Amino acid sequence: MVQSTHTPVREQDAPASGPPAMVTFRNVWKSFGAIKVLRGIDLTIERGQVVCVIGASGSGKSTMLRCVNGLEEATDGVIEVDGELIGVRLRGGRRHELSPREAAAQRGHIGMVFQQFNLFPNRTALENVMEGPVVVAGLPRDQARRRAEELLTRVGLADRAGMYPRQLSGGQQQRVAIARALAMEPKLMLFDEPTSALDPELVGEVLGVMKELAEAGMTMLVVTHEMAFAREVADRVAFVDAGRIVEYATPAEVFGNPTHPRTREFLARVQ
Amino acid sequence: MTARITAEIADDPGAAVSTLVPTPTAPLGTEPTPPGLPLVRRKHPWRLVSYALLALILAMLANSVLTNERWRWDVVGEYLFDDKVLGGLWITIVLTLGAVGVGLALGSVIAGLRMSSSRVLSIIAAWYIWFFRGVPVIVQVIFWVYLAQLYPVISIGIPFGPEFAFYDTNLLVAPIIGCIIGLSFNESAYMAEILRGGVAAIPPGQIEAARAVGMTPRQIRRRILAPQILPVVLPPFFNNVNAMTKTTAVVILASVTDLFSAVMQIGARNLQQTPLLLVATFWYLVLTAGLTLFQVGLERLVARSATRS
Ligand SMILES: Nc1ncnc2c1ncn2[C@@H]1O[C@H](COP(=O)(O)OP(=O)(O)OP(=O)(O)O)[C@@H](O)[C@H]1O
Ligand SMILES: [Mg+2]
Repeated sequence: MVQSTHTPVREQDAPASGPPAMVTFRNVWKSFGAIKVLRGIDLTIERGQVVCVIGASGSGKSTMLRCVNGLEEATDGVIEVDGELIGVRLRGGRRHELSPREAAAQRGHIGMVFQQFNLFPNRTALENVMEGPVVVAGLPRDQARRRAEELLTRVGLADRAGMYPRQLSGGQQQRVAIARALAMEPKLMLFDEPTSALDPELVGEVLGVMKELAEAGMTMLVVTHEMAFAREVADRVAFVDAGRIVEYATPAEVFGNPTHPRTREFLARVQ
Repeated sequence: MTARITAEIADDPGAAVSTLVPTPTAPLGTEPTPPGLPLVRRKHPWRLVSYALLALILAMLANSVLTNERWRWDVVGEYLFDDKVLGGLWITIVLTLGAVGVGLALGSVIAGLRMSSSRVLSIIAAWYIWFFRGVPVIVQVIFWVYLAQLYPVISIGIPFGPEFAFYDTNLLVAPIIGCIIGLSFNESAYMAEILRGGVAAIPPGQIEAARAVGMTPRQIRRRILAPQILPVVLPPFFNNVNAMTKTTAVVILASVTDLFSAVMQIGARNLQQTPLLLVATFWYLVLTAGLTLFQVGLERLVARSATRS
């Protein structure tokens, strides 16, 4: 094993000095049956950083993102978010699965935006945004309503609050989905190709909201095919190939001077 | 109108269309006006013929039924509100509600087990469904009613160990209770499959979105799955309840006097079986009509809350 090259997995959290990084992948592996989808991911995202993940289809980008909030459980290795292990507790060199309640509580602090929006079709835009604060955080309905209205205003949809998802355009639905994730006041936002299901003219409005979010200091992990967005907004770009991060640097370096041949190949194809 | 347009187009396509629909609309800056062409629906002359045919057939049927003395409508009228018939009707309603109520409760649990991530629980639930759907209802009902023949005394205790309480089976399981138990077990297997189908119809993204905002499995079941499953499961659910109103007739073999059993008893005495079967038919149809009205109302309510526009 090449264990030594990886950050060691510590048993107790709380490092000696300073606040922990927002996200730390420690040698994360994931298999579906015999297929190894993630093969030793190491990645540290500092507070307030925006990291864009790029890579070919099927390289494991979505899987990597879904491991961060425990929608997918890692086959090996661990992920820490804000110093807390996701989905497991380390004891005696083993990972002990958390209870569904504990895992749910962790997810409440991590916002996620899906490629297919996944809005609740039987709830209005406003109700979609209110759902988490009311059901999970137990916020009184009038407070939740006020927060939801503010968030819909922030994503430019104050006038669409009473509409159902099917009455909204794709771009509007995705902005509601972003507001829904923000309603839980997350410390981290995950985006899985948030603009891939959108018509080209609707992409801009969603990226605009994401850019504002980044400027407001939100820590973000974004899987995207929008190279211009990555170049402009990202602090770091990670290029994933066959389940490994083969290149990790500033956008200027990755796009201007890629070192790995697979990165060069990929960039040549998409640009 | 239609004919005229076609004719004109046939004569001079370009001219006709352009006079009817002036193409260069209002100049920029002014309000455009619509051309004002009403749409005329297609005519369906053959429908009138089919209406007439159906009316004729219905009239012939009505004539034969009403003029043939041997239908004995007078007997039907005499027994329609007979105390014994109404008592039987009441038992049929109790059996149906009991079987559906207990079956739904039990079926929810079985559906939950069937979808459990534990393979053991899921397989046990699958066997349960296989067994209680597979054994004829009539056998299950009679089994529970004649339970006393197998176990004259029911006792509660530790298997192969001491026993704490004893009950006389015949007292504990009255025939009607035995019938409800038998019908419920059978019903629960169907209900479990209906509910499982409902959950399968929900896109997995819905559950992931709920998990991503931090909902617990219980919150997901109540807030996300339940409201979205409802419109999917209502039609098969009512299909099943409708079938159950009539399946309850099997209790005649357990000496429980339901609607069917009541008319058969009266018919055996006065030898007017056919008119009495019409009495039962009438009440079964009233019951299922009521159910259908309830279903339509409920489906509208659910549809309105799901897709209000
Ligand atoms: N639930 C699953 N069961 C089995 N295999 C899976 C599952 N989810 C993902 N995979 C496999 O894992 C690999 C990586 O999938 P993933 O969705 O992470 O790719 P991706 O990089 O996000 O691709 P894309 O750009 O097309 O979204 C693929 O080969 C996929 O077939
Ligand atoms: Mg993906």
